[in-house]
Amino acid sequence: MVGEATVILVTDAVVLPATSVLWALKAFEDKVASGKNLALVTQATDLSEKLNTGSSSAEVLVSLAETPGHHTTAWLAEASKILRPGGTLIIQEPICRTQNPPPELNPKRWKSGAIHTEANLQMNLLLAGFMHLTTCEALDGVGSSAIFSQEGLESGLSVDGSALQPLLIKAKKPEWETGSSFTLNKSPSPYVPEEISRNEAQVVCSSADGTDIAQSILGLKVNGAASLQIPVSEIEADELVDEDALLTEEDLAKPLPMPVDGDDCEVGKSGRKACKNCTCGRAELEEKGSLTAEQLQNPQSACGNCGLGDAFRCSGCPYRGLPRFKLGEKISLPGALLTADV
Amino acid sequence: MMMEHRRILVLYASQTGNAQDVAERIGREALRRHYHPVVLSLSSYEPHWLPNENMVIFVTSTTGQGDPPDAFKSFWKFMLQRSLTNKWLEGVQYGLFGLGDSGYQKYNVVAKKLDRRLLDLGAKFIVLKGLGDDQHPLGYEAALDPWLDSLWLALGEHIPFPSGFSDVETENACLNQLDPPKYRIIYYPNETSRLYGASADFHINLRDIWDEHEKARTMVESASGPLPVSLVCGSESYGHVRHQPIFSRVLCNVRLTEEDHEQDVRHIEFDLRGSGVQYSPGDVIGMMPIQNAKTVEDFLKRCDLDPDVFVSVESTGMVFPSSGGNNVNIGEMSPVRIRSFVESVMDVDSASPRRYLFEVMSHFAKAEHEKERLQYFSSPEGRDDLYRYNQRERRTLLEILQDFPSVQLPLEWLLQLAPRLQPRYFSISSSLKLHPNEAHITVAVVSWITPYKRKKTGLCSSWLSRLQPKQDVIPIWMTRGTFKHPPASVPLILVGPGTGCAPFHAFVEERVAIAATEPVAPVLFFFGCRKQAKDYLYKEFWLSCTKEDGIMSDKMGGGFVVAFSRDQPHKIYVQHKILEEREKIWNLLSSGGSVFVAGSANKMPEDVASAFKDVILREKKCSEVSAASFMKQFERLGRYNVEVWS
Repeated sequence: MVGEATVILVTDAVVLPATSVLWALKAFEDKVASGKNLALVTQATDLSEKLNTGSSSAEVLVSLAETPGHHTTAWLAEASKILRPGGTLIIQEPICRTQNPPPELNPKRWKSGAIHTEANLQMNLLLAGFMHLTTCEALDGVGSSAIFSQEGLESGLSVDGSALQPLLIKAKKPEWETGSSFTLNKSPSPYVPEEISRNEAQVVCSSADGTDIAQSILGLKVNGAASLQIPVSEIEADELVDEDALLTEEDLAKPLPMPVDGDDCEVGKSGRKACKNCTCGRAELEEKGSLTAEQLQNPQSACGNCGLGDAFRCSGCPYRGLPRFKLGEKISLPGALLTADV
Repeated sequence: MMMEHRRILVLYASQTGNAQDVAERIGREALRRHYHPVVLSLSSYEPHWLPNENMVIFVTSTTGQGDPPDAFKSFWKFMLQRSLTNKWLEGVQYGLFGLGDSGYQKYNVVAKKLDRRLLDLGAKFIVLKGLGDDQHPLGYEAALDPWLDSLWLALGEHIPFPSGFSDVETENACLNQLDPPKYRIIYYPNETSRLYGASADFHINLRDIWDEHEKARTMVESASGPLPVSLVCGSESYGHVRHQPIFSRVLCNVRLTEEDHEQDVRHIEFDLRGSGVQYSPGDVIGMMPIQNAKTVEDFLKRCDLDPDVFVSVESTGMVFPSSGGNNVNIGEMSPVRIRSFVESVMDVDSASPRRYLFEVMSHFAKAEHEKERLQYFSSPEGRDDLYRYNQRERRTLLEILQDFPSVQLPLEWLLQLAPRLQPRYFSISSSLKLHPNEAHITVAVVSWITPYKRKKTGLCSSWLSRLQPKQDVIPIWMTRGTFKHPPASVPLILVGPGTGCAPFHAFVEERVAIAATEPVAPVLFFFGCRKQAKDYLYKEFWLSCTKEDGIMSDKMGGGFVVAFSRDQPHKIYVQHKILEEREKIWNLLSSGGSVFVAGSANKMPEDVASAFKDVILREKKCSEVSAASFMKQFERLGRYNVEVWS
């Protein structure tokens, strides 16, 4: 029976409040066929024995844990096997909000022997291969109750539960299985819905990338018109296409480095200088470019342009870099040029 | 309207003004070709009007981290809505030009994403997207010029020419026309200076001068386009925006590197007493550099400007009839002296102007050989020579005007063509917890020799290096940087070679202060410099944190690793050290650690990212693809942060 389910709701608690089931029924309305394809498993500490599901079959796996430290990397890896590629995982677990749990929360009290923080859970999810992690509001009535059960109160934990609080994270299993292949299609983009007429009542959201729970929770979206009037600041993050998915592999490749113009060798920040074994001819040019004292005293110019300034000088001009001067008049070097050629 | 079909909407998203320059150039050239361009910033255009357009040209920049300019964010969010169908932009034709820098990993991604998204939504392009690259020797114009040629060709095919004009004639006419200027100057000959009143209080004069400079800047900004959001601010922005700076005394200005080391790196401390302004580690200080007084005088003389004449500036509005224009009533702004415009708006002797300056100058050259040369520089044939003369030499506006003495540009053109004086930002390297009422920065003085052997220095960094402690007071403001220092319970892995260590100096000081009263998570810091004996910035401080129970001590699970690149024949950089410490890195990451990388651009961020990916590969024993996806997720979760500057 579980094997046919598209949505599996699993918990390590013995008892799960009906509100959770009702939430799942509503949230995944389109997948559960009025409850036929929704499976509920309780007292599940580890997945493999309790659920003999075929692997890679479930679309959504929801795990509501009341034990801290429940979702280990190993557990999450098992969960990944159950989900089909592109499937969605939702986990809820009581976590410790501060990095270092206060002493009264002794991890050893729980079967798992550990207490997770938000960062731990993120890490475990990433290590198990999940992507697109988002944190959401926890479901009420699950997870929090056990801590503050008889056991909890006896140990002296405060009822307001400021140290341990349930956290809900949504994640996606990547589209690809190892070894799978798919063709690259340029158009149409899987992220853009086809335009539909008003007569067809359908959920306007893409199906190629699997389910999107937020979409379902928020209800049906009308084709186009309504959303255009919403002020941008109120648009939820879930309503947006993943912009990074707009880029292809070739987009992300860096452009080829510029071919270096022979005349343009930059040798460090100090500017161009001919290399020791120069082959491009720059060394000769530099030799020609150096001025004699004679030239500084009585500058002459065959072309007549040298005195007009850099804008008019040709590339081989020995006076390059000097300010304007009059022919025959001594050139005074500005201070800036009297630095040694390092 | 009969001419409606000749309307072209040009939308730009500009961060530093480059995209706006390109958009305005497109507008000018469109006008010459008898189109009706409307040039608007994306921040003043409602996205839901888009489906009604016939022809749109987008010009957008990508910032260093692959982010869109602020003006674009809201528009982009709208465009990403899932509910927009693939026919939403049916009938809309577009062209797209992107400005980016291939020195960064996410080269021109904003333009690429926009292009794809427009196609997905049903729009059709009339030319392939153009991508301008700052890394190209000629800058983005190298890609812009050929792209514009193909744009005009394509537009000519899609929008038929009005009868009576031939395209050949129009093309020829384009080359010789002087466009109408962007600004109009209004002179107030009877206004006199109230600035230097009876009070000889040095401090008040400073504030008055600043106020006048701000007025000049604001006037020009509002005449240039829609008012940026930041100009509208309340009292809570005191000390956090340019318009309400803190007038801070310099407390200390010390050279950190050895005197004989090629680079001069400064540690400068500012006094915040009395301002009540707070900042956090990761924040930056903003400031406007002051230009050299003699240079300003030379410029005023060269341009034959009377500095004490009062003027006001407004948009001519003639060029782009429906452009943003004035949002501020010019009548409310009292006139300002010409001197203030030159000092605070125009960068006269540091940044290089663009090719358009040379084109306009050619219309004002009285000497024939100068006119010819200027026309040559503005032509496609002269592009390479222009590059050698202008961009590569970092030729300044003053230098260019001195090289073409027969050119006399009117004030409105000077205002339009001078590079805009830009504020500079520096990471704060101190923590208020250890230094109450102070803010420190770490500045490397920029200096280099041009290919023609002229010595050049950075405007702001060399001005800062000359500030006198206990005497000089300068206006500064604090603003958020890219980094946010995480809570003390998060382990940190920091990579900051050279002046990249500045924000991390703040992080570590903050943690040291917190550690006095509560437990803090450890820090693993990778620093790099050239020589241990010459430019080992803040050596004593880093080492003090590695002792005993310090936050960078081995005992506490932290670490401090230095790469000296030039102390041995082969180069050793931070990325090499990162790989060596992979076990420690993996441990810290697994316990919730975050990574921060800061420093100069070029290859460092890329090499460091590659090193981290290798660490993941080896410690997790997974595939390349898996490691890459891991890194991407980390970035998304805010656990891998990069801030680089050029």
